[in-house]
Amino acid sequence: MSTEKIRKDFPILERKINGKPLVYLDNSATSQKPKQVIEAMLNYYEKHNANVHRGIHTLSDEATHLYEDARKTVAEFIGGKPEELVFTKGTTDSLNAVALMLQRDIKKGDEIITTVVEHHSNFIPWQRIAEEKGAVLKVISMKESQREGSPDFPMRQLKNLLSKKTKIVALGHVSNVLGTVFPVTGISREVHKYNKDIKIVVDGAQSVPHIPVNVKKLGIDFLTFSGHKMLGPMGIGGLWIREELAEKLTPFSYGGGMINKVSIEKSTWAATPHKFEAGTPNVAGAVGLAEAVKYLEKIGMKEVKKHTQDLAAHAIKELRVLEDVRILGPLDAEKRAGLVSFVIEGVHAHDIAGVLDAKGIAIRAGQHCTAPLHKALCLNASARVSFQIYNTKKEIDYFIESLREGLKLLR
Amino acid sequence: MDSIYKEELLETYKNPKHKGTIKNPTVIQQGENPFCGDEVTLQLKVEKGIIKEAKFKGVACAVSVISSEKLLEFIEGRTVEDALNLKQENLLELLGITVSMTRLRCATLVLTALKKALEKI
Ligand SMILES: Cc1ncc(COP(=O)(O)O)c(C=O)c1O
Repeated sequence: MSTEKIRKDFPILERKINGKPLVYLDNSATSQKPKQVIEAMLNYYEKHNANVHRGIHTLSDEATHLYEDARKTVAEFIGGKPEELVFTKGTTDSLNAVALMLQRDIKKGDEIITTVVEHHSNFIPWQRIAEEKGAVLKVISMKESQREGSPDFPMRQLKNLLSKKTKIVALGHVSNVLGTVFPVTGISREVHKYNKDIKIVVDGAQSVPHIPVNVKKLGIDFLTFSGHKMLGPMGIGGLWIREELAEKLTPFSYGGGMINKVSIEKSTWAATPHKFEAGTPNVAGAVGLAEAVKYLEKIGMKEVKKHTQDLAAHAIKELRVLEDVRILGPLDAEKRAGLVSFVIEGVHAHDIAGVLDAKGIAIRAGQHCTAPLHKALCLNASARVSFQIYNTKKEIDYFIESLREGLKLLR
Repeated sequence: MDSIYKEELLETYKNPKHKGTIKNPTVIQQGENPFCGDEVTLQLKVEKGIIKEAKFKGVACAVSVISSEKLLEFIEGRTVEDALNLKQENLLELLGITVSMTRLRCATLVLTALKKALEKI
């Protein structure tokens, strides 16, 4: 499908911002939504809305089918089974749910390994468990991998940190700042070779929208992701739990829809994934997310990856021509998903974003919820451009040209 | 839109008169915006309830710098009490531009630091 044709599916791209056509380069924060997704949700509310798994009546049955079909679509998209896929509010919600469940088995002195690169949502839950349970949070510094030509992931450092006390390894698949795609398959192989009971939790917020992801190939225990970053609506996301684990784990939230039997003395739980979904679910969100998945599948995730990687390569090349620019993460776009963060000596990232906004260009500036990483990089803030299937090289050229003009103003 | 990127205001950003430090300040206060990593250090010299001199230093964006400059220019020569009574609206009036919700945090960084500094006196 041509980019031109794809762009027509995204109504918001017609908008003017400050009198200029919108150039939306903040896709890692949230992506825009194609009309297919918006219409699917509208259609759900106009024709099929009812509560699920509860009613005998026709509408309830239709809504239940739509909801469960959506689950199947999303589960298969990441190479999983419907029984393994729990709908949540998004990545943060999923990660907190995993933390709530895993902390039950954490004892004083146990160890959790994560990295300095993580988004706060894959960092604070582990930090809290460590504080509450007297466990130890071991943080891979990633110092080695910041030099050019060095491996993307310091496997040696990870291996050195593994111990008999390690219970959880939590890491992101794609860094939302460095853009690096981390070798999760190799990492989980190493970890499970050491001890197959260590739980591997992967934050897929930036990988699932940008590259093909297959949970079986990754060899992990949990995968979390957000619908709104992958052309779907806000307020819906996924938590994939490996089947054997999903069957064993006790739920993290209790209420309607997740039980088998309830009596005054005791309650028992429904089968997975329903035991993890207490309360009325976000059916319209699930329907919208499934539609987004179908849209991505129609294009093909290999193509999404190639398109956004090519844009990243082009952005890196053009940015490096400018003076005093430092690109964060690998310079080789092959090692990245479609996002590029950078800093410009002497100019605050906020001001870069500010002058670009005047030109209709939306980029992100700040710490991107990764304070420990920014501290490790000795940065106060950085600017980030992130791409989706509807972005073009021409947009990047316009961004660079506007950046040049903006820098003249600011310096 | 941030109309902060006007030439006149950018002049203030590039050459802020109140940037620097004071010899023997009465009070030093740091301010921080965890969302963007902005940091300012505020120094005040207060004599008999009057703010004689005010300076700021730090890593900050244009909104934060211009806001600091305008605020410190305003409070010099005024009483501590006057300064304590300053509100967000007053600061925005001094700035004379509209700022977005996110950048409001940049603009008010210095005001928050100023309040904390004055409470220490
Ligand atoms: C790597 C990463 N993890 C987690 C999140 C949190 O996602 P959400 O806010 O949708 O829960 C984000 C997005 O901001 C992210 O980029």
